[in-house]
Parts: sequence; C-alpha cells; structure tokens
Amino acid sequence: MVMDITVGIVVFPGSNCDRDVRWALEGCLQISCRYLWHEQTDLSGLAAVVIPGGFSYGDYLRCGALARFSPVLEAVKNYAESGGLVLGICNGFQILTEMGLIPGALTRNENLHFVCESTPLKVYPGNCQWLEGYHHGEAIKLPIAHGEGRYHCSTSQLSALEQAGQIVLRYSDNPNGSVADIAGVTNQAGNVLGLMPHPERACDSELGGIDGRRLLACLLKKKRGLQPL
Amino acid sequence: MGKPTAAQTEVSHQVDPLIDDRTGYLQGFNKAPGARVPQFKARVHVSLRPSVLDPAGEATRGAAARLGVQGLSRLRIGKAIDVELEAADPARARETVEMLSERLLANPVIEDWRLEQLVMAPES
Repeated sequence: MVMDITVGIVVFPGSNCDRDVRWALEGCLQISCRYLWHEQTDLSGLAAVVIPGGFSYGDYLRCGALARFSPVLEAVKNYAESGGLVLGICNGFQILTEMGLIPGALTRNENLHFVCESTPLKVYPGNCQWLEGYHHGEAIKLPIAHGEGRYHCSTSQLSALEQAGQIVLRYSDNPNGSVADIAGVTNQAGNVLGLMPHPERACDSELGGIDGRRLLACLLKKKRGLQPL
Repeated sequence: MGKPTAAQTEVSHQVDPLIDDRTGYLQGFNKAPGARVPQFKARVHVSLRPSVLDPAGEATRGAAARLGVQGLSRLRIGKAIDVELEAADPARARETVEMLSERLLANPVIEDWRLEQLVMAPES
C-alpha cells in the first residue's frame, strides 16, 4: 500500500499527544507525518493539519489563549480558511475556539475533576469531512482526558449550531457539564473539526478500541482526490 | 534644549549603547524635563460571565460553609492582571489596556473584564 500524503502535526511547548497522533497515523494507518514546530509557518505539501492534545504554553492565562498567537497557527488559520483539513483534539479543540475557527469556548469541568476514561458518544457527521466514515446517530466509545472540557456558548449560538448541524459529536453520559452534551463541533464548511475525545488513542484493538480509527482513516479515502494546498 | 534629531540619535547610538531609544537621551543622564515617556500601572479584573457556572467558586463556597462561615450566597473566582506600560498620555494607556483585555486577557465568549485601576506611575 503506497501512501502519498503527509499530515502535519503541530507541536507547541507543552504538547503531549503529538507522538500519539503520529503513532496512530503512521503505525496504524501508514500515513506519513511531519511535525510542525510552533515557530514555523511552512505548511506546503500537507494533506491535513492536526493540533494535538496537551498543555500548549502551559495553559497559561487560559487553555489555548497563548497558542493562538503562534506563527504556526497564523499559517493554519489561512490553511483552514482555504479549505484545508484541520483537526483539533482536546487542547487542539480549545485552541480552535480561541482562534475563532470553531465557535464557543471550553472551560473548567463542572465537577472540577480531571476526567480520564472511555466515554460513550453519538456521532452526527453532517457535512464534516473528518466523520465521513460514521453513520448518523452511531454510538461509539472514545477515551477522554481533560480538566477543562466543558463546552460553552450563548443560547443563540447554540441554536445556530444546532440548525446548521455543526454539533457532530455528543456525549451519551455527559462527563463535564458541556451545554447540550457537546463533545465535538465542526465549522460551517465541514473541513475543521474540534473534539475533546482522543480518536488517536482508539486506533489499535490491543489498546481497548478502534472507534477513533475511522476518523483518521478518512484521510486514506481522500488520498486520491485531495490535492495538497 | 530640544530633543536630538534622528540623525544625532543614530550617531550617538553607535557611540554609546546606553542611549534611550524613545527619548534620545542618555539613560539616567542629561535628561530633559518632559522627555520621559510616562509610565502607567493598570489592573484588569477578569471573571467568568454571570451566566457561566464557576465550579471552583462553588467548591470554595462549600469550603467556607465547612469552615463555619454562614450566609455566603455567592462566591466567584476571577483573576487580577497587573500591567505596567508606557504611553504618551492616560487616554492612550487606557486604549492599549482595553484592546489587550478584549483581545487577549479575557475570552468574551465566557469571560467579562473590567479595568479596575489606571494610574500614572511616579517617576523613579
């Protein structure tokens, strides 16, 4: 199987899931990867960009607040706005909201606990390109590991998201107090996805589940049709 | 005595790195009155919007009750951010701090901010 695409993985000081994402993409799916250090801006030849979990810049001020001003994310913002595929996982989701690529914000879990467990979810793919491998209403399980995953947005924003079908992932057993059980949100165009659960930690049956594999595997399906930007 | 011209500053810079970039005078020496860029101190208070649950505040309120302090109906935790800055005048200092608060210190989706204090720092 020849893989001719490369996925960029953003690395900040404090990222800690960058290697997990690389392992999932290269080890489980044979998709080659390139790390993107936070100071660089060259995204040429990439089929997608992943902003991984962790604690970028120590989560100082607010999670994701300082990352927004990094050179690499200036480039990622342009990349996303030109239709490039961008996936933000956990801290990456927090960063996407701070950047304004995904509406809303993520803050302290309702019960103040850092929750680290496998959690049941429902997928509503809509037009989200990352979720093409899932059925509407499909039940899956993915690991979560966060202390600040409570999604919040205004009531009017919430109904706008509902109407546009941008709430693509919901908790079946809300672990953090997110409004409307929101676990993942896509942008209007469907090329950017932010989610608190970790699909990269559910790609190998030896590690307790492969429900996250189809999400990353959407890149395989797109391989032929997708031109690097 | 007037402020040195850009050319003079340029030359002085090559000779003496202690020259002050903003005033054009040697630092701590030969300082013309009024040449100093005013220094301001500001304090910005950032807190979760009233509509957003503050679980840390609620937990602290619970601890207050266990301490024996009764009657606390509300406890919200925010953060205070102290900023020292240079600006030509108070209006510009305020403008800078407001922009900073709006775009960086607070996330308007979940947080409110207010400028609690803006004072001109005494000359050291």
